Parts: sequence; structure tokens; C-alpha cells
Amino acid sequence: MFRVRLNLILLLLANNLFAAPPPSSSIVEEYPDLKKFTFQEPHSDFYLGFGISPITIMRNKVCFSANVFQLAWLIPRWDLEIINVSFGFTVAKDNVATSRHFTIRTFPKVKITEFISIGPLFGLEFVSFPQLNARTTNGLFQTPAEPFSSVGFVYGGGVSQVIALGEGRLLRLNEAVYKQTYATDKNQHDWTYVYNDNNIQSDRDPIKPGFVFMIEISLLF
Amino acid sequence: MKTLFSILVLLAPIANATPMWRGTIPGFAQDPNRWALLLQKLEEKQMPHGALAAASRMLTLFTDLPTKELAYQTVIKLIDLGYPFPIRSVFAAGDIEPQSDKEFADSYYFYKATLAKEKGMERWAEHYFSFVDKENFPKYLFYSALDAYSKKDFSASEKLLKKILSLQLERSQLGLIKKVARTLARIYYELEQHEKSLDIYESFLLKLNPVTPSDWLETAWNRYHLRRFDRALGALYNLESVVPSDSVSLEKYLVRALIHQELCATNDMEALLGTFEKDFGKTLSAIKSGESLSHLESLTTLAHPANVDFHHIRTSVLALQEEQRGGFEFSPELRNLAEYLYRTELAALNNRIGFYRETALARAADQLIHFSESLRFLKFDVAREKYNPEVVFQRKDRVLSSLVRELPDERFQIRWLQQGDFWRDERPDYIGVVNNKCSG
Repeated sequence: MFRVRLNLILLLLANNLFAAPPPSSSIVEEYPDLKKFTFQEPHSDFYLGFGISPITIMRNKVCFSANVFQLAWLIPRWDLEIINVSFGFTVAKDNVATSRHFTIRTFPKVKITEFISIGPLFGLEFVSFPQLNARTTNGLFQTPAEPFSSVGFVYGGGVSQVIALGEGRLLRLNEAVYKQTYATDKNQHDWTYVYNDNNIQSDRDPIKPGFVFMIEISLLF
Repeated sequence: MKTLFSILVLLAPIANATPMWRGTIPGFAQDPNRWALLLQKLEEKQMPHGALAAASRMLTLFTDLPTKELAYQTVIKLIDLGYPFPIRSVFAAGDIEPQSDKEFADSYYFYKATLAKEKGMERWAEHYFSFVDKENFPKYLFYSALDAYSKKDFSASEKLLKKILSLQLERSQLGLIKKVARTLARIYYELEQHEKSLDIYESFLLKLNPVTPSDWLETAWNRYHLRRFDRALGALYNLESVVPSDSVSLEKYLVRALIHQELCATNDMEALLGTFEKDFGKTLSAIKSGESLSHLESLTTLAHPANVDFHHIRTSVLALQEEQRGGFEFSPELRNLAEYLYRTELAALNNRIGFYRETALARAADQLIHFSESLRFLKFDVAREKYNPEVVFQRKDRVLSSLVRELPDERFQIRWLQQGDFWRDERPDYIGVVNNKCSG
């Protein structure tokens, strides 16, 4: 037992004798103030991002959307949202009026303060109503009944606020209003929509385009 | 009576003396406020050499205290920004007594004191140093550290330098901070603590923008002593950047030669000697054949410790010409003044450089000749080594042609031809391709 204990003590002593010296710290670790003088690569003016729109009112319907891709260019005078791609869906009292929206937009803004920018919004919107079937007709010709879908430009304007989160990341809040222009009577080839739902066929108000008000929160990096 | 008559006879020529030449200051250059505005504009437009010339001129032309104070503040600012040559001499005629701005006062009296000490005026130096905060003023601490370093008291010097680095330092003091870090690195180099010295270069000095070219050379020396020859060659490669440098150091050839000699790399040594011949062959032939040195442009760029004044004037001339070429985007009255300043300053400097040129070129020629002789002896070693049977029958190196080379521990290295100038984030990581060809 004594011999085992002695061997263990000798082993520990040997380890301490031959142990590598603790690594000395670098000069920038010893004097952290020096780090601020070293060159840091400036962040690019281009940002990618994504976000959600927790509050969107689309005519008389509530809409939830997420923007899955954003490319922005931020420079001292401009906040240019070059492209923003978003998916959304509405919730409506009437099932046939629920819709899905795929919007591609651009939102260039000028900075009125370091924090706030304002500008117009333009884009293209693809909308579909999965619960509402329709055919398109042209004289004696007609297409099979399919869920109604349409496309139209959107235009409007809004305000943004950008908050720096540090390490090159930004938080952007958008408040925007835009008008939808998708057609519900005829498509772009001048074929007429005929809806299977008689109520909608007689009164298209639940599916008509209108104004959209949205608040969007995005993370840019 | 006779004495009085003798004195009058002696003084007569002085009384009748007329000036040999007279300088005329144009009317637009006689307003100190205009000079102050010009100084401000030159600083805004980042024309430091013009600003220094303007400050020096203001000290010559005007005697009012506000103008002098502004001029000295500008000179101190330029020194703090890292002006690469000593310009303390402008403080010789300084007769202001700054009180309100403590930082300015400390710097002003410090430079007055160091200038007095340089000239051997110990009591004046002591008098001016009494106005300086010796405990906390970084420039004084650095001065004391350099004094200890020159006396080989490295531990005292190290302590003072570390005290400076632990102070709250501002960006405006970056010029001083670089010198402090570099001196600390050189102390560790002298003490053969190459890891610690190398760390200062790798973690700080080589991460500044811009990097002082000599830091690459000193990094290479540390890596050479640590036997990291590939990284040493990589550091030296940075000195081949296409960005023009004010001066050329022959040490890079020396470090390369030592590395190749260590590794018995005969082919690389021959290539190095070929490069040296390409760079300086014509100059050496011209020197040996007794041609006039003033035509040899490469001699003017060779760094030599005794040629500081010559290089200072030469750099100032080139820099002022560069600033002048950029044009003066000032109001018409300031533009007149700026053109006058640059024209007269360049004329004065071109005149002054003539006093230094011959001696400086002779020193540079001497240095080049001696260095080429040292390399010639290495050439004999190479020639002998080349016919060593162990080298002749050595397996030829496999020429690396692939883009990617795999390294141990799942790392890899990418190789490509360097076109144009170097990328900033790559510069610390260059590696020279070296193989140890020594037998045994």
C-alpha cells in the first residue's frame, strides 16, 4: 500500500516537473485596449434578411405573412429594400374568401433621420383562393374549374425604422400601406372568370382587391 | 582715442553692409488668419506634408502667440499621427508658454526638453522637463524607456513600456502606441524571447492599417530564429508588394540567404542571387566603373541609418509634389497661398537636398558594395555545394501543379499565381515553399 502511494506521489511530482508551462497570453489579451486599434473589415452595405408580419389587415380580413427572403442596400442617405419575397394567408369569416398571397416587392426609401426612412412601395402579387373554384370562359370556350387565382401589381408607400443590433445585424420595422390590383372579372388574356359559388358570382366583394395595411419586423444580417 | 578709432574702423564695413539677398513675402501671405485657415484646410484635405510646411512657415513669418500656438499644435498633431521623421527642430525657437491645454503643454515642453538634451543643454532640458507630468505622460515614459533600452537595461525599459500600454490610450496616440509595441518586441528579440516578440507583431503590429513595412522584416527575423522558415519567407514576400515603398532594405535578401543556407537550398540560393543581380546589377557595375552616383536612382531608395536627413527631404519633396498634383480645392485666396507655399517649399527643399545628396549616395553605394561582396561569398558556398555528390544525385522536388494541397489534420492549402497587389486578409498567412535538402 505504501509502495503504491509512493509511486502515485512520484508520478504526480513527475507530471508537475515535466508539465508544459502555462501558455503566456498574447499582448492583445494582456492589454485588451490594443484590439480597438487593429483594423476591422467594414461590414458590407448589402444585407440579407427575413422576417414576419404579425399584423396585416387586407381589406376586411386578417392576414399572416412571412418574408422569406430580403435583399437590402443600406447607405447613409438611402434604405433600399431591393427585393422582398413574402408568403401570406388570410383568415376570413367566409371560407371561400380565404386566400393565399405571394408577393415580390421593392421598397426604396430615403432616410429622413438616421433611424427613420420613408418611400414608395411597388411589387407584384400572386393571389389564390383555394376554397373558391372558377372557370375562365371566352365565347364558346372554357377552362376546367380550378381554384381561383390571379395576379396584379401592388403600389403604395411606407415608413421604416432600422435599429443596429451590433455585430453587423439590424432590426427593421416596416409600416406600409399598399393597394392591390389583381383582377376578379377577367384575366390578362381577357377571358372572363365564372365562379362556381353563386354568391361570389353575383357579388364579388369578398374577393375584391383593396388596401393592405401591414406591420413587418425583419432581421437583416 | 586710438582704441575708439580702431573700433570705428572695424565697424565701418558692418555699418555700410548691404544684404546679399532679400526675400519678399507677397501681400496675400502676410495675413496670419489666412495662414490659419490654410492650415485647417490642409488638415481637412489630409495633406500632412503641406500642413507641416505651413506650420513651419507660420513660425518663421509671424511672432504673435496665437499663430505660434496653432503652428505648434499642428506639428504635435502630425507627430502623434506618426510622421515618420524627427521634426523636433521646429521647437528650437519656441517661446510660448502654454498653460490652458495640459496635453499640448506636456507635449510642447517635452519636445523642447528633448531638443535641449540633444544639444547638450542639460539645465535647459531639466527646466523644460519640470513642466512635464513625468509619472503619467506617455511620451515621457517612452523617452525614459528608450533611454533605458539604449543602456541595455531591458527590464526597466520593459516595465516602462508595459506601463504605457496599460494607460487609457486614445486613437490620436496610435503613432506612439505603435512605437511602444515595436520597442517592446525588439526588447524581447534582443533577449532571444522570439515567441513573445513574434506575438506582438502577429497579434498587433501586422493587424494595423497600414502596416509599417519594416514590421514584416522584423517578423521574418523572429520566424527565422524560431526555424519557421516557410512563414519567414511568407513574411518577406509582403515586401514585394507592388505598392511603392519609400525605401528599400537589403536585409530581406540577407534573411532569405540565411534561410536558404540553413536548408542547403542551392537552387533557391542561385535564384536569390539572380534576383539581387537583376535588382542591383546595373547599379553595381556603374559604381565599380566609377560613374557618377547622382544618376543612380536606386541608390536614393536604399535605407541607411545615417541618411535620415536625406531621406526626410527626399520623402517630403515627393509627398509635396504628390499633394500638389492633387490640386487645391480651396477658395481662390487660399489657393493662391497654397500654391505659393508649395512652390517655395519645394524650391527650398530641392536646394537643401543638394547638401546631403553626395554623402548619402556615397554611403548607400558603400553599403551596396559591401552587401554584394557578402552575397558573393555565399555564392562560393553555393557553387561548392552544387557539385557535392549528395546534392547532384538528390531526388528532384516534385513540382506542385495542383490547386489544392492536403495537409495533416484535415487542413488544406490553396495555391494560385499572385496577380496584381496583395489581399489584405491574406497577407499574414503567406508561406514560402521550402524543403530541407541538408543531408543528415
